[in-house]
Amino acid sequence: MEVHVQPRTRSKMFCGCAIGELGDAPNSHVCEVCLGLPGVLPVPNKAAVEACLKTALALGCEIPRHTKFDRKNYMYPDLPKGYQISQYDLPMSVNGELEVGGRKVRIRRVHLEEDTGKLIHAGDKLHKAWESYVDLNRAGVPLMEIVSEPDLHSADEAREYAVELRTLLRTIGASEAEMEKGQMRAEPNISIRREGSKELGVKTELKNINSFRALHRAILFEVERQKQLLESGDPVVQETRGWSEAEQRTFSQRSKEFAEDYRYFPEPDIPPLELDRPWIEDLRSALPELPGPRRGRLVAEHGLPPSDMAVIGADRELADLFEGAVAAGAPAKQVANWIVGEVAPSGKLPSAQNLAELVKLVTDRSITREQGREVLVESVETGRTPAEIVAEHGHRQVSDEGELEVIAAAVIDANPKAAADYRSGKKQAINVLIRDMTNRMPQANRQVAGEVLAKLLD
Amino acid sequence: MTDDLTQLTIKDASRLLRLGSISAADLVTAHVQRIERLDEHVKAFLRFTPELWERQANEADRRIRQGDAPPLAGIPIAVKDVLCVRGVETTAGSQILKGFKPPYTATAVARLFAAGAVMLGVTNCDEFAMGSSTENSSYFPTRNPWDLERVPGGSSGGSAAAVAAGEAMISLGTDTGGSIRQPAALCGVVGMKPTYGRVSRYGLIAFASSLDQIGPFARNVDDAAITLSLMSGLDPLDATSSDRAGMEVLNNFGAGVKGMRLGVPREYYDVKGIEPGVKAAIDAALFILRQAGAEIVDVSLPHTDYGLAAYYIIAPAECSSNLARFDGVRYGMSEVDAPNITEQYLETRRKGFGAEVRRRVMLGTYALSSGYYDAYYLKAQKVRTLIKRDFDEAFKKCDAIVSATSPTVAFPIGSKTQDPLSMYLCDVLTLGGNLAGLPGISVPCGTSDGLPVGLQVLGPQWGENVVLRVARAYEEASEMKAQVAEVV
Amino acid sequence: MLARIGLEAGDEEFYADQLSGILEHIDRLQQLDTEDIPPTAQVVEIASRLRDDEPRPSLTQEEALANAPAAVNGLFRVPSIQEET
Repeated sequence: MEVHVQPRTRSKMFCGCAIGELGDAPNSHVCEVCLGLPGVLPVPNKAAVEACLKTALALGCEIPRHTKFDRKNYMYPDLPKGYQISQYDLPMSVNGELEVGGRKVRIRRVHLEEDTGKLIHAGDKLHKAWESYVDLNRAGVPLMEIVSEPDLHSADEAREYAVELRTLLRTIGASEAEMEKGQMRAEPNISIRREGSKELGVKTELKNINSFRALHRAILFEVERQKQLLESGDPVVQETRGWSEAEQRTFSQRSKEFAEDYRYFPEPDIPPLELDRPWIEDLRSALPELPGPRRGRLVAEHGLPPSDMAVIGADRELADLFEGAVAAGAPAKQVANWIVGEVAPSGKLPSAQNLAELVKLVTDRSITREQGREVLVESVETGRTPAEIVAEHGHRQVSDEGELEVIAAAVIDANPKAAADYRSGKKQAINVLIRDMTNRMPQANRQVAGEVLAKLLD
Repeated sequence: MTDDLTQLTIKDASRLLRLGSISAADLVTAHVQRIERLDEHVKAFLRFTPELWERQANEADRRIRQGDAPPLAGIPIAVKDVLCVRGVETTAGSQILKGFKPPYTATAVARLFAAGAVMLGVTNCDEFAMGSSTENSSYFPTRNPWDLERVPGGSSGGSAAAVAAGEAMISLGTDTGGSIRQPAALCGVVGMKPTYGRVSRYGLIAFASSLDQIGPFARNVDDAAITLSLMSGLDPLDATSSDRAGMEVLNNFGAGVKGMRLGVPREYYDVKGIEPGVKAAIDAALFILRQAGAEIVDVSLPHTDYGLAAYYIIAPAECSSNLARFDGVRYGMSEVDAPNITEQYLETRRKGFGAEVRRRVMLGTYALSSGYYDAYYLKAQKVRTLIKRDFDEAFKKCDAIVSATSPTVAFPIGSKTQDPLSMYLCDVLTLGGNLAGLPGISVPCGTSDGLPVGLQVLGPQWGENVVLRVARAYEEASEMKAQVAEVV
Repeated sequence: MLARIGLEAGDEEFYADQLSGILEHIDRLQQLDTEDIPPTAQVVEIASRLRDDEPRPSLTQEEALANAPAAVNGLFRVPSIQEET
């Protein structure tokens, strides 16, 4: 699978134009360089190079001593220079791997290149358009291309791989990697073969996939399509196919792929880059703990179940929050529950201190879980600590058994019938007693009250 | 009086300007008048820039009066049609860029403007700098001021002719295979190509990216040297530009050749096709250099014979890629009524590019294509390494290399256009310098049959100061000053 | 591919003739043994230079389109791109 990722940079790959947003006026973030005017020259963006190297290091790739850019030559209206500056035979990194769901997916290479512009077709459908329009705002935006070996064997695996890659990229800060924002594009190359056969079948390449869900569906569709072709004795044609979200199917795009000879040659305007070891080691040592190892460590240290790990381990910020709250003294399992059950779905992060405080308040029954949810929301919104909020609202529950025993005794005396019912086996009768207790003392923690009553009744 | 003003050196002109004897406006006017008189015959210029020269001359005069005149204040220059100047129609001698006005100025030119230079206009050249005679210009051929029926050389023929005819004091050209040095030789002026990377290529309409360099034409070595030093230096917009200080090109400039070893490569000395008159002029020049104290040594550049072949793979290959951007979409000529994009590309480029350009694009595309890349482009780059090593070896035995710049003097217009290979052979003594990235100059060293002959001096990489030193010493010892041609 | 540089029918022979002359000349490179010779990657030793990730002002949309042969609503216009089938 080829994944194109836009690294986090403020300017383009080879010129100083700022990177725009969706919805910007067309051709408003362009200069003579990214417009491909005569006489211009490319100068590579240092931040893009470092993001690519960091990604490569995080994927365990080998980094050569030198790397270079190459020209990929073809003419198309969204390609201003008539060639794309990319990397061909001496890319920034090769031979890495990513562990996904217990399996290792080999990474063939990670390299850097520039993006093309955007084409808008009159009538919206390429094959019917009588003219098209070119917006070059995106031309020259940096792209990292991450290519895996054909080690993915199902739509599930492919999606997991893409998700894991995204987590990794976000963890190391190389990219925001939001597929919906176009910062990450997945292009699976799909082939099928008879079970037991060693040779790979003819592959098709899928484009225009804009979400993990689409990735999954597109692969499922394409595998089925190829299966049907082969079963009816027809060959699979090697080609590029587009995924149509609207029609939920793949369709053939230009099969120019192998008609085109890209005539790669080394980019003469950019001297080869020396990737000296001190620089590489600096980048490597500045990498944060990677998701895979971190997950492993968290499970080992705290015994978290896989379902929790799936959420917490997928996001660096959630993992940071978890560890921070535990370090602040809150019990691990409960912190995990709160993160998985409340924080992650809401998308809003409390500070680790506040979360720890909250969890402790609930676990030592100062407040109920229900109250805890409200406090969390308010804490995130206002930034105030849970303690402050609880004090303000008077949420604090009485859980002290000694205190509650006094009232429990009084309640039992005042409700002889309920007490007798309970003793004779009708356990639900305790609710009457609990209700009375909370009438007399609204802050009584219901659960503890119940326990105290039961103790006294027995 | 006005004609005298077109025969000055930078030093003399600057002195007169500083003294107030003349104004920058006077200097420009004198040149414009000379252009009006002569250029219909010479046809060095494609278009003129009166708005620019007025503004720049006024600015120069203002600063001269203030007493803080920059080094080239008021100096009239002409700029080859491949160098972008903001708001000025720049077409690379081609129809495909007719009407194109760049929104920016080439760094090298901008630096000369900042130094006070005054732009007279845009000079003619072979289309996309491909040629050795300026006959490939899609507009018209420029004529040699010494004989209007002959070529001025190319591709920077317009720039060379403008200086030779006294129409400009300084002009800018570009050199990819000899396109500054060869026309300088044919027109009897000084022309210099710097080390690759010395001068920023930002704003130079690219022909062959690993060979192109910008350089000055002048009527004496001093003027060329000053101009070059002002254009040189790191440009953050050009990743291939060096951070070496521009001023170093002037180191030891006047030290003379006494004690220097000057290498004469036998393969250049005896090159096939060298005219006897050219050879004789070179011999005379070597004699003078010996008299001035230089030691002439024999050197060898064994792979000289393969240089043309390597050049005519690398240059077309790179140009085929550089010219892919001319597609009629964002600028330039365009077949807007074409029924589809493929037709638009086809028609635009067929009509917009001349024959030589199309020939080289085809050749270059072929040399890069799958299946041929190893045998052609890769092979040529390896041969290039061999050629560079030849020079490295030679420079162990000498400080600079001297030879003829061109095997022939200016040839009649039309005499080589039917046979591209014969035209390519014009560069056989200059293209080695491009392949090896070396600095080189051509200085006038006499005539043959009344037509100028040029002496080439090549130095090691970053050795502009050595090249200029030898050239200057020769100029002084020979008293061979570039003359301004009378034309009519 | 050759179409993109526009070979006129009939031109082919002319070009083939002219090119064959230069191609013959170029073939002499095959006489040289370059087995162990590295290709020139950069003829002059210049350290690779990277650019700091600082945005610079872009052209205005008007400037960007100033030389456009055909522009519509701030976009460059091109004729039909669809492939012929």
